[in-house]
Amino acid sequence: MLENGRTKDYMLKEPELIEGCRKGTRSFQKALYERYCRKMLAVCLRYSKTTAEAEDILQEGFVKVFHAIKDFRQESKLETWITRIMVNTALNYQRKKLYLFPMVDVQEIDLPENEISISGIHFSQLLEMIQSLPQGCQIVFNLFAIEGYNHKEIAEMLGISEGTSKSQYSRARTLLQEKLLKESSYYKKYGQGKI
Amino acid sequence: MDRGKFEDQWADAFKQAEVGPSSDAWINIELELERAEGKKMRRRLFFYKTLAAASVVFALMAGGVSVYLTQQNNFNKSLNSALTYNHNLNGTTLQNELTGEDIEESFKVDSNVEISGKANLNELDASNGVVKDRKENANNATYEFGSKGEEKIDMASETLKSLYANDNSGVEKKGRNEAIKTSFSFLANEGNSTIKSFSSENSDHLYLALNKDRLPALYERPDITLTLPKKEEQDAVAVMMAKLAAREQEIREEKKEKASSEDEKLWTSVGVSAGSFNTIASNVASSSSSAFAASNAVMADNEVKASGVAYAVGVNMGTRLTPRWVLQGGVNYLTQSSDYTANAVVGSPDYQTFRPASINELEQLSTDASARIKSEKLVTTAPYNVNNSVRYISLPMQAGYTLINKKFGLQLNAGISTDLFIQNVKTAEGQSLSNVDQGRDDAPYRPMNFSGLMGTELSYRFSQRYRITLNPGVRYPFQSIYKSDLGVESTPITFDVGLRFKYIFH
Repeated sequence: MLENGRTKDYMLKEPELIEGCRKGTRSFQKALYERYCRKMLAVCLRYSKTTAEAEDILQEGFVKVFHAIKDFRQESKLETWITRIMVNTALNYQRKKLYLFPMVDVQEIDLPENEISISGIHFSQLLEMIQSLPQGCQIVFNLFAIEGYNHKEIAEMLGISEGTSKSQYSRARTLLQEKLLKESSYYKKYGQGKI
Repeated sequence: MDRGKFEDQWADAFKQAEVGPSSDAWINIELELERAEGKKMRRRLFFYKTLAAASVVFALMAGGVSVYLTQQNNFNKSLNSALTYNHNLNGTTLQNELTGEDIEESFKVDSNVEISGKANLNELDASNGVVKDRKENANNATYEFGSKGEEKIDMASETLKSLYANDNSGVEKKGRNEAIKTSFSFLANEGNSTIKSFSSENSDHLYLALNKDRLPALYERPDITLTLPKKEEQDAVAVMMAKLAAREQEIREEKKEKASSEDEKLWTSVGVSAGSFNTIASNVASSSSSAFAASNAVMADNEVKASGVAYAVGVNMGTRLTPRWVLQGGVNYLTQSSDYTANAVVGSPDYQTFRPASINELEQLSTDASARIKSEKLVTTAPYNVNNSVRYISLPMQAGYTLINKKFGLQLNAGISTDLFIQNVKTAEGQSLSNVDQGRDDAPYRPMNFSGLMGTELSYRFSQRYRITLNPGVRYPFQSIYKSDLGVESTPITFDVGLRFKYIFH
């Protein structure tokens, strides 16, 4: 299974990978990392402002994964479990900032009826848009729109009111739509060459 | 606000999103995992260190109790000899009953009283005239008396009968009891506290308490002989049989112990030990001819104060000098390994190779005294971890005092170890630096060191020829392990636990 110190990651089945990590075998830990690090960094980037910050969260998250994997009961998919740990680590990481700049209710804006499609916009640009959101909006948007939590769950997770979660999300969505609008008018004018 | 198309679009856009992390990310995770494992190891080492310290404390306590019991035993033996001596002065009637075991036994049961004896009345009666007639008629007449703490002993009938027979004076029974009371009253008021109290409820009972710590003084009196308590009326044959059985048991135990100590006269053992060391006294000079430059002093200080792990493997020989004392020595290969942080490397003259700096190089570079070193340069770098491994051949010689020598054994060991330095290897972790490998001449360590050793040996004999032992102990060098001309000093204390297999020759 392991050859010349390098892991043939693709050959390992998930239960084997989990078992090896439970035993603390470094090569299996590295195999698990290599299998999921790219996806998880994308998750972490959504919750961060910079790549360095995202890598810090990624590292902290994987250390938690390797420590907690002995308790993983395989009731969910390994990827889902790791994603949850990454999101929690990111929330902990950002909680310090939220403590300094707590989320408050912001005025809800009526959303335009004609929603702008994001198809055709590259993922890196979408990521930039999310990262440019204010801290609270960024977190709530990620949790609601991408992770799929409802506002009640988000309120519990972040220790805020459900109303605050809704208003933060509303603001995030408005800001994103404005950005998308700018992008789409740019397309119309200059075509897709820019992207 | 419910989920709609907008949210689903975003979720889909990031579903398969992937971004490659930098190559440092895994290295950092790996370092973090290793640090966590190191903490676990340190916790384990702390446990062993605590175990070793607890064993040493236990050994010291056991030693103290053993010494106390030995002294107590000697005290009882001295009592016994005094008793026999005095008894012989006054006659031989009860001589056979005066044995060390009996006296010891009586002390075990009750430390204050439970002594009986005979008082020569010749002198005692002189203090009053109650039995004056008897004194004239029986110069060496004696009364026997007895006491047993809170319990009253009926002494009168048998004792006084015996006296009556010896005395042959025809003195009334009442008169004799009065004489006893008077005699003890005399002793009690004589100015010493040998006799604590006495009482006589009626003419047939006597109750006496003696102070144990005054007994030797009492024995020295030629007119008083203390003998065994007459406990209760028992079948003489049964008592004799019980005593014989007890004595036989005792002899069997003695033989067993003797056999055990005699058949373990010479042995050899192989073993390993592991533990940790801490530098409890260290010093890096900052102002002298051998001073370090400030930045170098920090690095030297990191190295000198570094704590780490110590491993040893070796063979030992031992011999029993007396049933209690043993002498053992051997040869061990000892490694002391520690990690410290450095922030500079030594570059070769052509800057082709770099290596961690050793303490003597740091000192030489600070004073700029060596021509060879001058051509090499100390280059400041980002902090990195250096593993410092110091290897010795250790020749321990220890004396041991055996507290228990049965299937389970317990022994206290103390001695010295001559540690001969052989090699010092410095390895920079995760760096493409050359290793530093220094021998006796160029290393900063003394070629020879002496260390004090102290420890406990817990053992279990699992066959005629083999014993397995667990040896928690402590090692402390008498002087700094660094050469005296360097401006650094360090005396690391090591706690370790050894595991040895003993082969018993005979």
